Amino acid sequence: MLFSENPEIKSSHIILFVFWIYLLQPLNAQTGNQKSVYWQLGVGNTYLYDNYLSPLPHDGISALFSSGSMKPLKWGLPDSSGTSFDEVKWFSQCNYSINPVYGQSSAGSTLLYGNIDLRKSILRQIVSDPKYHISTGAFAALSGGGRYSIHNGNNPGSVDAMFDLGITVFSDYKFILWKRSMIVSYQGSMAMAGLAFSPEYAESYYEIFYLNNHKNIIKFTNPINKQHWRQQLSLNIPISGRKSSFRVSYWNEGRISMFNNIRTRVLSNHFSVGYISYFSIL
Amino acid sequence: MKRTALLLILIFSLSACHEEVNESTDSKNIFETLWSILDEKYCFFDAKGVDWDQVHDKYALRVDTCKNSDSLLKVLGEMICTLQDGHVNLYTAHDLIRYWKWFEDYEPNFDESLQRNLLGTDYQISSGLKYKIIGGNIGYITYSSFSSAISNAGLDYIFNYFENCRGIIIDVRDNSGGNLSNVNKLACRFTEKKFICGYIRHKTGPGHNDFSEPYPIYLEPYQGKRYTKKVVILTNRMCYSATNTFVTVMRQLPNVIIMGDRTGGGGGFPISSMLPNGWSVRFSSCPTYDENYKLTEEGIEPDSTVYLTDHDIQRGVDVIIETAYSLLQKN
Repeated sequence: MLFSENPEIKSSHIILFVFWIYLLQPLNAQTGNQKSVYWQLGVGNTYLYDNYLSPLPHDGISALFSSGSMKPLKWGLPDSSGTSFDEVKWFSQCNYSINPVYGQSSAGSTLLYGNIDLRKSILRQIVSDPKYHISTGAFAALSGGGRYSIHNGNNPGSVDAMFDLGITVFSDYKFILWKRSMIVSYQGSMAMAGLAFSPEYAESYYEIFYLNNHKNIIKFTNPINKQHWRQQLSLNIPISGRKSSFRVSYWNEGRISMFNNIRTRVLSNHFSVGYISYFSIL
Repeated sequence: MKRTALLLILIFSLSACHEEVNESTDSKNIFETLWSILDEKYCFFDAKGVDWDQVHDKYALRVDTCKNSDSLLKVLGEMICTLQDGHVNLYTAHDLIRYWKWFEDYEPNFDESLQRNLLGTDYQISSGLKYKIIGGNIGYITYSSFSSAISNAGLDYIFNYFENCRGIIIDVRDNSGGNLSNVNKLACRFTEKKFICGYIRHKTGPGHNDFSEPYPIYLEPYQGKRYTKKVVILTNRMCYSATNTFVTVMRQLPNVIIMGDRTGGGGGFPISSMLPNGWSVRFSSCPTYDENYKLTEEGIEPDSTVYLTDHDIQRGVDVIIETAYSLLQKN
């Protein structure tokens, strides 16, 4: 009723609203726990290869925007109030990232690329020490994007769409430098199985999306036909007591696939700066 | 810890892997890249009886003697023309290498000035369609490119406008193709039932015979204004690619007659790629077939063959239109 009375509210607004709720969800889900939320922005270089569009590799400047949160899980704790990362075995992470790329080949052709990745991880601490922690866990990720070749007239684009299940390792180390308590952390993730969209070798998108031939376009993935990893090395420098930190990071991500004789590679390296806030919502 | 370390080593080693591609712009590599792209993705080698390995051996010798990019372009142009396919092109900043013998070797069977005389100045235009009611209550539509968008609203108006006509002439002579979605948008106005109008296959691997199973292409009736009286489609050798598909589909309808000359063909869905020196190549990648699973690459024969001679042009008479007009008048 509300929507029909207000013509300004469109389906795109509803999608944005749902996405916003998704981002806010970690802040409000479990009161009484310590949580961290971060935002970071980076620039770097990305290598692109897609033999569906061109036999030539492209690379160029790319940007990275990433945001997410981390919070302890109450599993196995009789009283969760006031729990922190030092006191719990289990914790979860939510993350999303956006990665636009402007790639060029040695022949001067241009390939544009963009990707959005949403992921949720659950980890368990396997080593816990006042100074350092090591955790391992699993993640589920949904990502989508595509490449657009400015020079291809008849098949200018190719689409990425995939669902990944994988393993992740997270570790952090606390140390004092210049009388400040800093944290260096590393996280590496690798997809182990999932689903991915791929056209057949020289199948046109016209055939898939206009003639609706969907045969053999969804592939089960494994570490042989698709490698997708992400690793991030960060230094968190506190800037106002223990409530927030400044972050500098190195971010490396790779997506390599080989489906239906179509080889794709997206290899990126980014340096980013960001901000972390620590919350303790009672 | 050891397992974690091994995993990290694996991750780092993967991140160092890049596709090994020869990006050299020397003549030999450009030739080999072009030959390989076509070898792996072109779809009509067997249908056209082309021995591509033999072509390689023949032209590789000539590439060795190329002194500059112009001479290389000439050799590569000759090589791709052995495929005798209008969808195989080589694009450079200063030239377009093409095979156009599918219409250059034949009579045009079309004269634009005669069409202008017929249309006069009081015709109507809806996106890419020009139309009017000519004498004897016959509707006439000319569509010069399937790249020109057509709208359902425009088609609704046109077929309401022609509702009381005895029949329609659709003149697609000299229409060398365009967007396949416009083919469907126009053709679906003339059928009352859904039917299989053709098939498409695509390459599933680099082998010359690595093809998918044929996938049927359906034409469904438009859920709105349709036209089911007699229709005559006028064709010539310049009818290529999407226009060839349009004629393939329309000739299956009981109320449609194809008139004029054989179409030029172009039944391969084209895709593009790029060479290390920045030249682009386009080529047929997905073969299309008619309803009897026969390739449409070599063109479609008309139901009624009518030629427009130089004498007719001098007389100022487009006999193809005149014949279509007479046929519809008898209807």
